[in-house]
Amino acid sequence: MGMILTAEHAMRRRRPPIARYLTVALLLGSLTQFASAGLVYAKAWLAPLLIERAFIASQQRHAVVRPWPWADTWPVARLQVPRLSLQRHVLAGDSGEALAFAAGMAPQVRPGDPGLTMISGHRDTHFRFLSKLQVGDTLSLDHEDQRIHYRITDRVVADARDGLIDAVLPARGLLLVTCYPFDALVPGGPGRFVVVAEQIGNEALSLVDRGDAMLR
Amino acid sequence: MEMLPTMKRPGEVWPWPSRRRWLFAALVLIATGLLLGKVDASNAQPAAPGVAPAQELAAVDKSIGEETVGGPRLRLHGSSASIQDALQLESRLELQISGLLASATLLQTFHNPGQEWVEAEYLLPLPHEAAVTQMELRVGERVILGEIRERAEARQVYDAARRAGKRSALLEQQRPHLFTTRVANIPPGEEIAVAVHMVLPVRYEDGEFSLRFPTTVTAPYIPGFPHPPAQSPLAMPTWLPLDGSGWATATQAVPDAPLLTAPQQRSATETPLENPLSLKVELRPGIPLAEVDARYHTLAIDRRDEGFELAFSEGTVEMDRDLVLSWRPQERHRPQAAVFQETFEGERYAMMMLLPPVADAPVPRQRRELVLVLDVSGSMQGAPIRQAKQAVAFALDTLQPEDYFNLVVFNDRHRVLFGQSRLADEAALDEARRFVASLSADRGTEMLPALSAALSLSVIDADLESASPLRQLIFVTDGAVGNEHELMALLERHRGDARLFTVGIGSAPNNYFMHEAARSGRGSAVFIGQASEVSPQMRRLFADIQQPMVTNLNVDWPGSAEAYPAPIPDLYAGQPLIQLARLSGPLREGRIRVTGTFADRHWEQQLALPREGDDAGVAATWARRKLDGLLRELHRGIPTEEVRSRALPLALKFSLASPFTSFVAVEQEPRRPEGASVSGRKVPNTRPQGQAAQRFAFAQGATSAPLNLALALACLGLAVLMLRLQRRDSWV
Repeated sequence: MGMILTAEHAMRRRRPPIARYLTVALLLGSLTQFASAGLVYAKAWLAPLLIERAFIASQQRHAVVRPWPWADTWPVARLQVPRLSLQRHVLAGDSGEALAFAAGMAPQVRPGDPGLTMISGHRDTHFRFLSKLQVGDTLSLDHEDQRIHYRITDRVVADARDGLIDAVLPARGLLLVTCYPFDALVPGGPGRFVVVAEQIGNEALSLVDRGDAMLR
Repeated sequence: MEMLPTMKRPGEVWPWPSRRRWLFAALVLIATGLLLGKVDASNAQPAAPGVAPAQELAAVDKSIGEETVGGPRLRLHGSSASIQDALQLESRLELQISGLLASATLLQTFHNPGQEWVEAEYLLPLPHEAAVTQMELRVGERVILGEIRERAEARQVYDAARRAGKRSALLEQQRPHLFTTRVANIPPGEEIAVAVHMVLPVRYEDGEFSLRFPTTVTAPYIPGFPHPPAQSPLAMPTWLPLDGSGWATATQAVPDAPLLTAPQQRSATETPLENPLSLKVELRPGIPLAEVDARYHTLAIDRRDEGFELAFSEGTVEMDRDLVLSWRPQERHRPQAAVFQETFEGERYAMMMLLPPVADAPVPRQRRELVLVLDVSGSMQGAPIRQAKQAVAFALDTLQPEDYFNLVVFNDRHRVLFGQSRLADEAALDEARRFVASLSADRGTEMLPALSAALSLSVIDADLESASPLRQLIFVTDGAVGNEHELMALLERHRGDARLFTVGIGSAPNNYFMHEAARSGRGSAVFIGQASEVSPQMRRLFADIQQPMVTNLNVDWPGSAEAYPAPIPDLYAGQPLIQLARLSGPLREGRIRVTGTFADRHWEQQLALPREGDDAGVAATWARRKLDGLLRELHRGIPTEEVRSRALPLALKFSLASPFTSFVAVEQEPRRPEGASVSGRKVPNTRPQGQAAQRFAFAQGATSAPLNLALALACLGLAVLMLRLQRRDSWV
C-alpha cells in the first residue's frame, strides 16, 4: 500500500509541473515570436516616416541624408503609383538591412540610365501592393532632380536560382521585385514576382514638385 | 482515496488517459501538417500551377532552353485574354532554286480561335537581300492580289478597309531584314493566309552554294533617349510608325523602335509548336551535286529527275533559328562563270557570275594589327556568349609574336583592354585570354561608342622598322540593335584603312547588319550558330584575311549598261564577282570583259553574253541591288527626301517592297457586321534557340514576420489547449 501511495504521490507531484512547464514554454515561445513579428512590422511602419523626412531633406539639400544617425543606407528615390494612390520610398542598396526598413534599389543601373533599374521589397510589408499592379499601370520614380515615368508591360514569376525573367525586357525600365508566392509563410524561397515597366518619359523635377514632396 | 490511480505500468508518467492522448496527438499532427504544408508551398517551384490564382494562368510554358535550369514558368497577365484567344500562326516556306536565284513564297496562316474579330500584327523577318515582289491575301480558295503603293497611301487604304470591316492585309518594310504584316478583320473561328513572294540571291562561296532564310528575330536593343518621333533630328518621316505598338518607345537614335520590338515567346521543345514552319524546296542545280545539307535542321531529301525535293524530316519545326540550306557541286563540276538574262517591260536585264583566279602559291604572311570587338550584352546570354568567347580565343591563337592586338568589350559601356595595341607576346595573350574567360553577358548594347572607340584606337608606333601592319577589326556580335543606320553612318565616316570583319553569333543574328557592316568595312561576314561551327567559320574568316584580294575590278558590258553593285567591291579568295546590269543599245550578243588586279598582276577574263534568256527574277534582283545602292546613300548623309525621290519610282515600277513602298491587299465586300468591333493582337516571334533570357541577381523579398506570426499563434494555440486539457484532467 505504502508502495502504491508513494508512487501515487510521486506521480501527482510530477505530473502538473511537466505540463505546466510545457505550457509556460509555449507561451514564452509565442511571446517571442509575436515580438519578432511585431518588430518587423513596427520597423516597416515606423521607418518610412523617418525615411520620408530624410528624402525630403536630401531633395532640398542635394545631398545624402541618413534617416537616423546610425543608418547604413539612405533614401534615393520615391516610387508613386497613381492608380493605387500610394507611394514608397526607396533606399540605396537591396541588402537585408535596407529592405527591413523600406524598398531598396540595386546599385547597378541608376534610374533613367540605359538598362533596368531593380527595386526590391518585402512581399509582406512594403511591396505587398505589387500583387495589385496591372499591365498598363503607370508608375513614376522621383530620383535626384528627375521624375521618370514608367508603364507596366509585364508581370512574371521568376526563379531566383536561375535569375531569368521570362519577359520581353525594355532597354530602359524598372523591375519591381518581391518574393512569391505572396501568402507563403517561410522566407527564403526561390520564387520572385517581377513587375516589368518600361520608361516612357522623364521630366525635370521642378521646385514646385519638390515643395509638394515637402508638404506631404 | 478518490484519486486512486487506475493501474498503470511502472514508469509511465503520461498525464492523460489514452482517449485524450490520441486527441492531443491528432491536434499536434494537424497543426504541424498545416505549418509544413505552408512551408512546402513557399519552397516549391514558384511556378507550380496550383500556387497561382487560376484566372492569372495564361500559359504554362514547359520548355526549357539550353541554358535554363529552372522548371516550368508561369506567365501572368492582367488582362483576361486567355491562351485560347491567342492567334495561332502557321507558316510554310516554298523555295524554287535554280542557278543563282531562288524564288520563295512564304505562306502564313493566321488563325483566330476566339469569339471576336481581330487584327493581327506580326514582325516578319525575311532575307535582307530578297526582292519582295508580291503579297497576296488568301481566304479559303480565293486569292486577292496585293498592290504596291507608296507607304503612307498603303497605310490609308489598309486603315480604311479595316474600319469598313473588309478583310485586308498590309506588308511594310521596317529594315531590309524586318517587315511588318498586318491582317485585319479575321472573323471569329476563321483564318486568313498571307503569301509573300520574293526573289533571293543564292550565295556561292568556296565552292559551296547556300541560302539563308531567317525565321525569327533576336530582340533588338534600342539605344538612345526616349524621344517624340516628330522632333527627332534623324527622323525619317516615311519610316515612322503611325502608332506606338512595340515594347520599346521611340528614341532619337531609333525613331521607329516600336515597329521593331515585338513580343517573344519561348521556343517549344515538343508539340504543339508555338510557331510551326513547314518547308518545300525544289532544288534544280543543273549540275551534279556532291552534297545537300541544312546547317541547323534535318532534311528529308527526295531525289527527282531534275534535282531534289527537300522538306524538314520532322515535317514542321519551330521558328526559332535561321534556315541555312547548302549544296556543294562535285569538284570537277564547280561552275566558274554564268550569265542569266530576263526581259522585263521591253528591257534586257543580265546577271553575271565569275570566279576570279586563286593564288597558286602561298603568299607571304603580312604583319597584322588585330582589334577584336566582343559584344557581351544581354542578348548574347546563353549559348551565344560561349561561342563568341570561343571565336575570340580562336582569333587570339592565330596571332604571331610579331603581330599587334587589342580587345574591346562592350555592353552598355565599353572597355578597351590595352591603352594601345600590344605585341602578341605570351604575357599579353595570357592577360587577354584570362580577361575573355572572365566575361559574362548582360545589360544593354551600346554599340556605337564601342565601335567608335575600336575605330579610333591609337594606331601603334609609326617608327617601326618595317611597313605598318594591316589593320583588321573583327566584330563578334549578334547585331541585335535597332540603330543600324547610325552604325553604318559611323562606319562610312571613320573606317579609315581598317578592314572590318563580322562574326554573326546565334540562331537568329541580324544578317543585314553583319553583311552590311562587313561590306562597308571591306571585309567579309561569317556566322556561328552552334559550337561546332566556331573553328571552321573562324578558319574561313582568317583564310579570307590572309589571302590577297582581287581589286580594281571593272566589267565592260557590250553596249551601254547600268550595273550594280556599284562600285564593284573587292573580292576575297573564293568569292565570285556578281554583277547585275540593265542593257541598252542595239547589240544583242557579245562579250563581257572583266578586268582586275590580283597579287599585283593585271587580270582579265571574257565571258560570252548569249542572245537572250528567260530567267525569272533577274530584273527584280537588278532593281533590288540598285535600291540597295540608293539606300546606302542615307548612311552618307544624303537627305531622306532626295533618296526617296529616286527610290520610290524604281520600287513602284518593279513592284518592290521598300522603306517607301508597301503592299496592300483588300477584299471588295465588307464582312464584319456593323456592331462588331475589331481588336488588335500581336503574334509573338519565337525566342531564338539557345538564347537565354536576361539574368538577374534578385534580393531576398520576404521577411520572417508571417512565419513568426504563424509560429506565435501555433504556440499560443497549443498552450491554451494544454491549459484546458490539464484543467479538465488533473485539477478538476
